Amino acid sequence: MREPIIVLKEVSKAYGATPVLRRCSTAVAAGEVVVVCGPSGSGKSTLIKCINGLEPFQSGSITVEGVEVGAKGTDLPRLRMRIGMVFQHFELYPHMTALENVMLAQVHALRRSRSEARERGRELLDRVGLAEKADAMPANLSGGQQQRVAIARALALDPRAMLFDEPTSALDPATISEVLDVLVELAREGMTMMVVTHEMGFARRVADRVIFMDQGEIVEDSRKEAFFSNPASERAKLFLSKILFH
Amino acid sequence: MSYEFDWAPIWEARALILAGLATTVMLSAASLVLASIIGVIVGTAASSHRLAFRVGAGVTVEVTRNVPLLIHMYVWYVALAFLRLPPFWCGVLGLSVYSGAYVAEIVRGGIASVPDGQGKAALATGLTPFQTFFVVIYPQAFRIVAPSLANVFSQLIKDSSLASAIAVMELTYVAGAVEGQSFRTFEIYITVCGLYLLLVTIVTLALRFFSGAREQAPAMELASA
Repeated sequence: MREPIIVLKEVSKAYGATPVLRRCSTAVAAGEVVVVCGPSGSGKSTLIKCINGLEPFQSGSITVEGVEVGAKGTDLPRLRMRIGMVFQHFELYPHMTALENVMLAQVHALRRSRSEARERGRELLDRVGLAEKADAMPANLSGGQQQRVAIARALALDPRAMLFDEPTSALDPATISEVLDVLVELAREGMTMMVVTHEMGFARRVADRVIFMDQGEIVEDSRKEAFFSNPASERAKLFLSKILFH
Repeated sequence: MSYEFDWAPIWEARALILAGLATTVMLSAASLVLASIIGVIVGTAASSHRLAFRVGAGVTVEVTRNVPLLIHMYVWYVALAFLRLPPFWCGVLGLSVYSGAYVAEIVRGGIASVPDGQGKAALATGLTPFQTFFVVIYPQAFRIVAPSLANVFSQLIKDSSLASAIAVMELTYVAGAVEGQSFRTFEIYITVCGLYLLLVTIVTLALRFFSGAREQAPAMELASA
């Protein structure tokens, strides 16, 4: 196995007495595409938000390229620049144009010059097929377009890995494919990705591995082929039967 | 009853009135800046996820807001007389702390109206918490609360007249002096009214301009919610 970029060891988290993550361990290697699935409330989103320190966790350890996420002295902004994140509800900045959204962190976090950031921003908007929407405000873009801008915004930092938190769940069916196409292309280019999604078609197409979670636990962590043809656990079987034949 | 207006004494006292106006402008401007700084700091603390910050901010706001402004000024001028602050600065401090509490409440509301995910998205791209507030959260909050801020700032300008009670020679104080010398009561107070109206209008228009007038209607709605 290639060098792992993200390593989780026995990560646990609870809100008060309610456990949300129970001793979750896994590793994501460079270039690997890992799909995280499972029923609602199983802790998938929480798990990937722990990886870039947006959610605190109580025990266990997470390292990104060897840097401990939960350690006290960790420079979180610096660590987060190396892992892009895309959210379910896009979260574009509504007071800025699409291009400005893509430029912001380049200027403030990476300290690129505005002209350099603008050039890179246009390049990325072109890559997600939105070159002509550079000056549009988010409110005037469709959901699918907003999500593509959000992907460009995350890519603008030249991250080593990308985290996707249900990137298509808030989209209407007609625009889901335009976002998935961008994800597929990213995966083909060798981007390291962790994708929380219910899109099993997408998982079949591009995932190397599938992690199945239920009630805060990683129930299954297996190669895509194995997961779809012969899931080991009853819970995964049940989940698959519901999601595939529903 | 007939009253004959005589504006000549007002015109003769113009230097004094303008000096009073200048003091009112400086008093208001200094207080406006300081109240905004206090308001942003306390309002941000009130939105913190740390309980201690929220409690501290809440107590500060309640205590300062529930004490009359005149008492605020007396506190700096009389109770803290050993500090030997000039009356002007006692007025500035009284006004700033008092109005700052109102600004803090508005700032807190503004921050709360920005969706949680905005801050998360900014942090996720490697922005520091400080940058996240200044480039992502405050600008969005400001557009929403601009009309409420305009209210507090116009209130502040009018409230500055209370500084006359601690011998700050601002517009209201000067009006009293001119009235005492000339007995032209109506004329001087009409003049002073006009000047306050002018000041408040300028500040309100300026704020509307800076917050982007195109979004006035929805912004109003949100601010009152």
